[in-house]
Amino acid sequence: MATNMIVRTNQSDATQSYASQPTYYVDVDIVNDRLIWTAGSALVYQHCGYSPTGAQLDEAATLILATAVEVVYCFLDDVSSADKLKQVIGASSGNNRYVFCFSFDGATATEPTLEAWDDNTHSTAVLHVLGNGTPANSMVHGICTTVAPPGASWTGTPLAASSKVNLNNGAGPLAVATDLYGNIYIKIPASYPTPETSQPVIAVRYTYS
Amino acid sequence: MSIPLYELFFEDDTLHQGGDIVSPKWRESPDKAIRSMRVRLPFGDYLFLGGYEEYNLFIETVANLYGAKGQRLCYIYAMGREGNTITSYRIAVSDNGKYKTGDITVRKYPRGQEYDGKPTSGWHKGIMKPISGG
Repeated sequence: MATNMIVRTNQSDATQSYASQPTYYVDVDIVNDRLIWTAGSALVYQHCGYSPTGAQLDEAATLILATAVEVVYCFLDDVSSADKLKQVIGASSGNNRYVFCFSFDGATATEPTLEAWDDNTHSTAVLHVLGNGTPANSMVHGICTTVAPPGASWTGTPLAASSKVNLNNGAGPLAVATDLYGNIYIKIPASYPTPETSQPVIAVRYTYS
Repeated sequence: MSIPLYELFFEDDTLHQGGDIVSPKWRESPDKAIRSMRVRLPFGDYLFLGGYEEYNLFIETVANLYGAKGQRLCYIYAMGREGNTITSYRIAVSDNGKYKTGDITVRKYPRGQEYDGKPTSGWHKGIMKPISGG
């Protein structure tokens, strides 16, 4: 059998794993659902009951400031639910361990990785949000929290192209079904000169046999 | 019945047909010494590997969380180990801007560094005999 992965997001308490509190998590339908990083607004908020339009999301965009600013909210637009927008609890630079859960139902041949790219070809990373060609400057930060919390005000790895996160904490391929965890946030540098509306592709690469 | 993604020819002259790209069933292959392996390429040709001490085969996929929908199958990897050298045949199964479907990239790596500088799991033993040796 092929090994499959289910992405889950924490909706309740980032101190609880999926194994201990499965009802705290919601499965992400990666074909129909979407994640939204936003500053939020009167029209874009938790349990708003609809999927925001592009114009609504533009109005809820994070503003570039004279100091670096972290995008406040990560929502799951759970299109199959009545609530629609559900906040991903703990998706931030805070010391939050159980946020994004990657549940594998079997072995892998290599270690799964969390990555960011310009688009679905997963071949380039030159968007401003991904560092404008310099991965170290990516505004998207990721970290593996499979074995431990990330620590307060963590910086992790700037995600862009080959700058990626090993989700098994560097321990290599999965031998059996395993839940891996990570956290992600987006932070815009102070006075960044180029506003951008972009949707970088954040993805998990894995192998099966 | 679909055409198998790979076939294994064993030391005892038996044949095993694998699954498809969605479910290769490599890990369920019989635990017998492999004489050679035949991998079906995206456009119907075949790649033969033979004479290795160990073989491996797996599929690489990318599941999108944000910015794009769904999952993309990227590559078939077929590998053979001879001593401390691993020969990797990476076969593209989708276009990605740099590689087109069917492109094969062949590289040699030190054992334990065969995938992004790291080891892989799922190896099956082989026998180092000529492919045509009966």
